[in-house]
Amino acid sequence: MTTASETKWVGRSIRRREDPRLLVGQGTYIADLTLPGTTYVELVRSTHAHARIRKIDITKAEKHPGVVAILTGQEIAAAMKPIIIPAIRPNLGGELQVPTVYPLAIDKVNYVGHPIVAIVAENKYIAEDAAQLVEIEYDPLPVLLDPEEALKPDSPKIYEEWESNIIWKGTLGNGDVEKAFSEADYILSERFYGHRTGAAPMETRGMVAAYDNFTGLTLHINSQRPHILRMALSKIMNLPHDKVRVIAPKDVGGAFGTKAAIYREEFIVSYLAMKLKRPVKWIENRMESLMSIGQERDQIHYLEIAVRKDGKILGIKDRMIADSGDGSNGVYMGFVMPWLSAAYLTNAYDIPNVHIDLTCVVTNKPCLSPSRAFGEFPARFAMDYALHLVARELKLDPREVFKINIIKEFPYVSATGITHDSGDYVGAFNKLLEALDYDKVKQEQKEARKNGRLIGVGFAMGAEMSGLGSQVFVPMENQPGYGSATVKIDTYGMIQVLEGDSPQGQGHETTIAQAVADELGVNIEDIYISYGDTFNTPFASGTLGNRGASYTVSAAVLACRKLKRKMTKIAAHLLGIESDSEDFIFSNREVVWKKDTTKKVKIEDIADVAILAPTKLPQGMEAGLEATAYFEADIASMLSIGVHGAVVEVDPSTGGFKILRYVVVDDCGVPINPMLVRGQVHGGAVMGIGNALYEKYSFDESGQPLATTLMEYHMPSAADVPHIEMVEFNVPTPYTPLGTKGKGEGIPAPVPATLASAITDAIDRPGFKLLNLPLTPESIWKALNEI
Amino acid sequence: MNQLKELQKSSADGTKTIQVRVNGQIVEREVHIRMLLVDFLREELGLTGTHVGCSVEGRCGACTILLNGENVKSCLTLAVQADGANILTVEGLGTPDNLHPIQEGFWEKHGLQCGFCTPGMMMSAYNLLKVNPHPSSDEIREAIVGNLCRCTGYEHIIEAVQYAAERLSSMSKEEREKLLTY
Amino acid sequence: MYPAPISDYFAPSTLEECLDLLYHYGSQAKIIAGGQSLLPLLKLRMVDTPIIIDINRIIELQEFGEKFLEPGKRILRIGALTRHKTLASHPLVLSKYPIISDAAKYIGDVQIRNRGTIGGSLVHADPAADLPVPILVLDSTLRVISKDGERDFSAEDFFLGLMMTVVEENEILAYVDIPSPQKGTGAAYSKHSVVFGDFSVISVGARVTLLEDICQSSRIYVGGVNPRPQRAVNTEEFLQGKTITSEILQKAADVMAEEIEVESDMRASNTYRKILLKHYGFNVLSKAIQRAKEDQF
Repeated sequence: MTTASETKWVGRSIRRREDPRLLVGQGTYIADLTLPGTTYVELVRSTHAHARIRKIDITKAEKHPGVVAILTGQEIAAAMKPIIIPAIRPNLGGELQVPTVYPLAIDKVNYVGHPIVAIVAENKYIAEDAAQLVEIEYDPLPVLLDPEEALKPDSPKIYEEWESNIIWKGTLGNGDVEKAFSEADYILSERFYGHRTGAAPMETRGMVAAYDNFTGLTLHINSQRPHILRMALSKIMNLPHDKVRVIAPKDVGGAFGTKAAIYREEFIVSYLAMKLKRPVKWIENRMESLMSIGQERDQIHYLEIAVRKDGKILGIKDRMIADSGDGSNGVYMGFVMPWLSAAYLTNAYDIPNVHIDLTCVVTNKPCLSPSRAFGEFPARFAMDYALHLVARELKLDPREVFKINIIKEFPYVSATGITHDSGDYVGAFNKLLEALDYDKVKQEQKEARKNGRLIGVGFAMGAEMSGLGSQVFVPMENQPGYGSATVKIDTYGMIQVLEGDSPQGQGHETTIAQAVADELGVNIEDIYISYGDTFNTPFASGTLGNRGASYTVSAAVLACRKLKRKMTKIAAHLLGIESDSEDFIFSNREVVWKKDTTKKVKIEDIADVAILAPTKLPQGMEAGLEATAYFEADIASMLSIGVHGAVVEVDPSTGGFKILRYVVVDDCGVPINPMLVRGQVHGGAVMGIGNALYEKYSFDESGQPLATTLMEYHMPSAADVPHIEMVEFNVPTPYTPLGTKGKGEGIPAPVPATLASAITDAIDRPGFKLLNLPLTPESIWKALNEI
Repeated sequence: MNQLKELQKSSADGTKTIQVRVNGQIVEREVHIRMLLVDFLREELGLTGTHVGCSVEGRCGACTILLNGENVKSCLTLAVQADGANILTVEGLGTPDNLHPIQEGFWEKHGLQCGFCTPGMMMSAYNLLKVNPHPSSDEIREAIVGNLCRCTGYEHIIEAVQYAAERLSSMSKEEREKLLTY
Repeated sequence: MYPAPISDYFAPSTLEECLDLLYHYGSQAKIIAGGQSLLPLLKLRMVDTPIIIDINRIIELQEFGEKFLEPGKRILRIGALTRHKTLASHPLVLSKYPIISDAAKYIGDVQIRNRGTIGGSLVHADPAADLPVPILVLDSTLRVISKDGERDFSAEDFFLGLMMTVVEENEILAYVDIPSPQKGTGAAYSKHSVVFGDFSVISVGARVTLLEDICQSSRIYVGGVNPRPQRAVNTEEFLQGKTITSEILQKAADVMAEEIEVESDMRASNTYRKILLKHYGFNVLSKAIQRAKEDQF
């Protein structure tokens, strides 16, 4: 017989429970939902990057057969508050200027794609026909696309009432930076640029809203954070909270942060459903998606690193400039990502003296919205590639420069205030060198060079946030960091888990069930997971920032443990024994008395008593079998380490290169399902490769986006990316009940420094450096010819 | 009081009646000429397993189906063009109780995360395995160039297709052929 | 994103029927074959057409194979409806006209190649498309038909400019005739794209006829340049009569990079396109030479 201490489910690579429906085409994504009487919205968007709207003529569109309604900015603005209310406004100290944002543009547009008019029609084809008939006249304004230009005092302002184009400005750091710099043997000083790129999930955003006078507004939306959106809708649209229900569909086609922000369309679609008393559906098309969401990174770092001659970093200074776009999206406003980038700049390294000046600037581009590796992508590139440049300059083995700086003692609090809970960063780093067979590769490099082949090896680290606790999350986004879950045992002894998060492919139905199955000694088939509906799940901040395995799973475990105390009391009562909770184990769907294992009660019998036959409960015990837990780790935040390494071969005549090997050493604490962790790592690394090499949101000089279809936004196919080797190096964290940590968020971030350092190592010429992303053959060729 | 508008069908928007065999069943519908095949499948027939991810040029491949034996993008075909065609969508591949070896492979090897690209991806795998029973990993990569995935990094998808290839090649010729024709 | 309303759709089963339709509706109709370029244009509403003529059922347009036009004059006839898939994998193409499969193999992806046709690609005349270059390099003849009669064009005369060809509204491209290469001839094509299957940043196609090691004649075109593939005349002249060595090919690639006019766009700058031209020019010429040598025996 299995005892409770033996892990039965956690740690096993079982097949996912969500897969069967997805494999037979019975997933229910937002586009698959059509309510009776549904109308369809098409948005007319700005074709100018910066302009005054002189005239909007909807007369032809209104007359088009099949058009149900047309909505303009004035009307919707009159019906609600501006979107950026305090509840969805970050609170990071520093100097903040808040734009006034309404769902539709009224008299001015700030980027190409800014919604101006909403058409509602009987079907989506007609909605598009009518959208063609709307005529808008513009008076173009000067277009600001370069944040450094936008910072100049004589630059035109995007928000006239502001004092400058700076949406947020502040400093981060600690220690005596000037002293560190005065004691340095060498100071590296470079400008690093991480371009505008991001996540682009395969499913675009979408929503269906319905309204009636009695139940109020129901918004079905593929959001990562339904509870927060519900609060925002209630406040902004002046609706009582009980008359707003947000439901995320069972299946969401990826999000990676892009579905975590609060955008304009939520309000447009909700308002129209209320006005028309008919369901209203809007599915973002790919062009709209590529021109308005998921654009991230876009940071300039003027980074200075003061080092001792043995490679030890004494201090760093960074002047960061972020291009926030128009700063209009709720929750993030285009500056939370760069802020976190600054906070995590020191990455996995022990750097006592840090000073970072961060300036976030508005431009005539869409607002930055979160994308996997939240803000960190350019910062990791700057920091880790800089370490390689330092090693080259000081003629040190980069291994030694990394090792001397890696954080060795935990918990560690960085100069920017980030708490690293636990782990073995040096061990993970050594594991990578071993997996790469570093010395052998260096030997092969020498041999290859004799034959004219340029091979190089590089690496980088990523101390990845594994969920942020309330201590960080509350000041950052006015939201709690805890995980929450309700565990209910139903009348037939089946176990229902309700979570307030809303997953998008992470596999919560499997991983949460694995943890709960172990706690309650049941089979995974005895458990069912519910999420997405704000009317019956506990409040939570959403599925984002790697919170699942750290916080949400832990909350489910704690809820089980609460429940177990009650269940053992009932069991003892039914068995007629007096005993402590600790004297029972949960196994084979039974609660068993350790002292005499023939004395046991089935969980379904306990449920029967607790729910259907409360007369059989111990005297005075409350009926029912459910518990809700809110898990907060006893530490500000947790991180998990990933170490990436690559071997590349470069053709110096064209700058073309091939990735010969790509290795990731990964720590996620205790893996609940190692197969799912591997999937996260592969996907994260490949997204990083796509972002670093191919994908770019580019604009022409008038601010027209050039990557508006997937023919121009070059997401890599299977043939464009290498095989990803993944090595597990797991160190359980002492701060969660099972030692688990979230995995997924930061994986792309070490990619650019890994590849840039490998390419630089292959070229191996003094003065050769790659300071700008993306890393294209052309950029490498240019860097080679600029030495 | 709103005026009651007479909604007459726009004369420019013509229709045709088409007959198509979808997942073994013959269906007949009157469709607008401009209707995309993917909308016909999703909205007229309720087969929502076929997805739309790129809206315009077909790059994403989430709408991939089998049309007369070949994998094609149903967003780059008008429904009227499919008149007389034999179509297989993900709904016709296997049932939850009797998964197709390709579906089994994706399940066993964790070849999907969000699942959005998966139906199209499996259709391309089907086309590949029909002509190449033992594809190398590079051959699989080339065969799915027309199907983008944002979650998996493709690694497990390749393992999934290899798993399916092995399962299929362990079967008798008849069994195998039955599973790769519709 | 969806096409604008379309009022009528015809799917003729014979060429004659199709020509009648074109005669009546030419100016208002669009021909659809594979539709892999037309559908995006319809969805973007860059093309708005009241009538669609679907030519997929016309057997006459599906001809594919070698034939003698007259004694001693052998050609490969490729009907306009021939799919990229066939061009990429047909044994006849692979063995005798590998430059065509070089190009067809990397058009888009499997799904695109299953539907897309040579006729559609040539008439669409996208400068970054793959098939126009080998068709030009092979000195093909293109037959254009209407109710009023037939017109033959050399490939060079067929392409007029950016997405423009000689095909009139009431006409249809029926087939492409490719002359059988003379002994000692090799041809090759290659392209640079940002990601697999994407449009070419630059593409090069070359055909070389050798006697021993001496270049008797050559035909070279560069694609991915506006407004249409450009012939590398100076490079051809440079190679004429020369004994081929690696050094000569290197120089020829330099001449090519020098003479071709390239532009900058989001995929590459003009300077870098020239670098790519040298690289791909050399590689393609080398491959063509290698094939020419294999063809001498």
